[in-house]
Amino acid sequence: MEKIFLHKNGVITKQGKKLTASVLKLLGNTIEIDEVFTLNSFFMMVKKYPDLKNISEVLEALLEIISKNCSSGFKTEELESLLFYKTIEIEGFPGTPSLNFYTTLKGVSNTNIIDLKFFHLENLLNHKLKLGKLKHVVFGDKEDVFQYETFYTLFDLVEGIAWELSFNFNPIECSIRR
Amino acid sequence: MFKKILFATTSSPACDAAAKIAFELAEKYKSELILYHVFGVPSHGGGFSVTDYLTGEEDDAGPDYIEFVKDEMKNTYEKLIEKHGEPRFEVLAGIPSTEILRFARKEGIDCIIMGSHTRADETGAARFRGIVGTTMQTVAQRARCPVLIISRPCATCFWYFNKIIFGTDFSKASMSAFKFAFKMAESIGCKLYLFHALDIDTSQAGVSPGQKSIEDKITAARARLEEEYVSQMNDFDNYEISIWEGIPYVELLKFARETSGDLIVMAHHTRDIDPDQALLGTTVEQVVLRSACPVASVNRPDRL
Repeated sequence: MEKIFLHKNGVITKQGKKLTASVLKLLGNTIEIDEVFTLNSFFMMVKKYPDLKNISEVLEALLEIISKNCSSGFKTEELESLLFYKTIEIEGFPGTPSLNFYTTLKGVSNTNIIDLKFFHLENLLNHKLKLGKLKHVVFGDKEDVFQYETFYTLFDLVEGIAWELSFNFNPIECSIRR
Repeated sequence: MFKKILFATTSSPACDAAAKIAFELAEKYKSELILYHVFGVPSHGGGFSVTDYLTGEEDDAGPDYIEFVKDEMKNTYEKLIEKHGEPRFEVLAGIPSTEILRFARKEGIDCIIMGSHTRADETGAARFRGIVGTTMQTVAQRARCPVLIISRPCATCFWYFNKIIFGTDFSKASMSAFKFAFKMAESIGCKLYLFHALDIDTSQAGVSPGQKSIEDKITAARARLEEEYVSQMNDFDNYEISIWEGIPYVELLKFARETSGDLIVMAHHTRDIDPDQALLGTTVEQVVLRSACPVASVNRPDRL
């Protein structure tokens, strides 16, 4: 599948050419992202290609929050970068055996993976975003997770990040971390 | 405010945030706190063995085992007990939602406190595992008293809270939620926000409403809020009416963020149907999952 490239300024290019047509045709394309692509780049991309806003109910609201509070945005020192990755999880007990698949956005500090839901959105914007390996969790054993190379589509990224950030409507005054 | 508070717990870390609020709320309102734990499914034939919900193992559920579970609970909540005093412990085997509802009715509980999940799920995983735990969903639908659902730790909420957001869809159950929200705001002396989200996605099927149409609907909603709720508040004037347009749960979360709300009070469902038949409304589910502050789900006026 042809790759598309997501630039730091939110521009999408395919075979070196800037995308001018509708972005919908590219939702299934695999992506490669700029080394310095940040969460802010992600929102710049959503703004540049407004069709992407229709992928999730919360994207418009998140853009609104960013535009209102952009002056207070800074990089929290608790994180080094952001990691977006897929997980395949097989569960056996309790409950009916099942195989689940989901994407996750987490913070990275040293080698630790950090939950983002207690952070304010504004404080995450300037962190670099990386695409991680696929994690394979068997029967809930998160201590011994297999990791594999994988790919991400534009849809995976936009929909996955929107879902994850829908947990970040924390009031500014609420500064609880963990 | 609450004579008896029931904290229904799995005694796992997933309930830690709810435990803190349960202990603090009981101390603040000088309520009797009951820690209620249903530990397993009894075996067929009325024997003494149970299948433990957490471990999946079968155990002999004699009096010694029940004492063992109680001791485990005391160890789990040791720090909170030291700080706030020892609550009453109730431990038994059964179907959790059935036993919680039965106990709440029998004891005349004024408020049930629960965590939203039975396990500390990742946000990414939450989307396919169901929005809220089945036990919480059943209890919230059928309880005759308010059910306070806590999904995140909160340092300021109950001890100092001063902003209550009442979200309404003008359903019959919303009136019960309003009565609870108003009673809380009046007794604490805090600000009450009356919030309605104009669901423009469903207001005109297939047609984008124009600005004039939206403005007319906002005016009508404001009049209705005043007629149905403000008219019941007598001299209480520490309130504010807000009507936003958009997807209700998104607007409510945005509003709670902007106003730094400490507590969201909502009815369970979005239509005037029998509370016993009602599923937890989509808006409540979405809000409970994502809200930074506790959400009180009120469906009936019985214990207000």
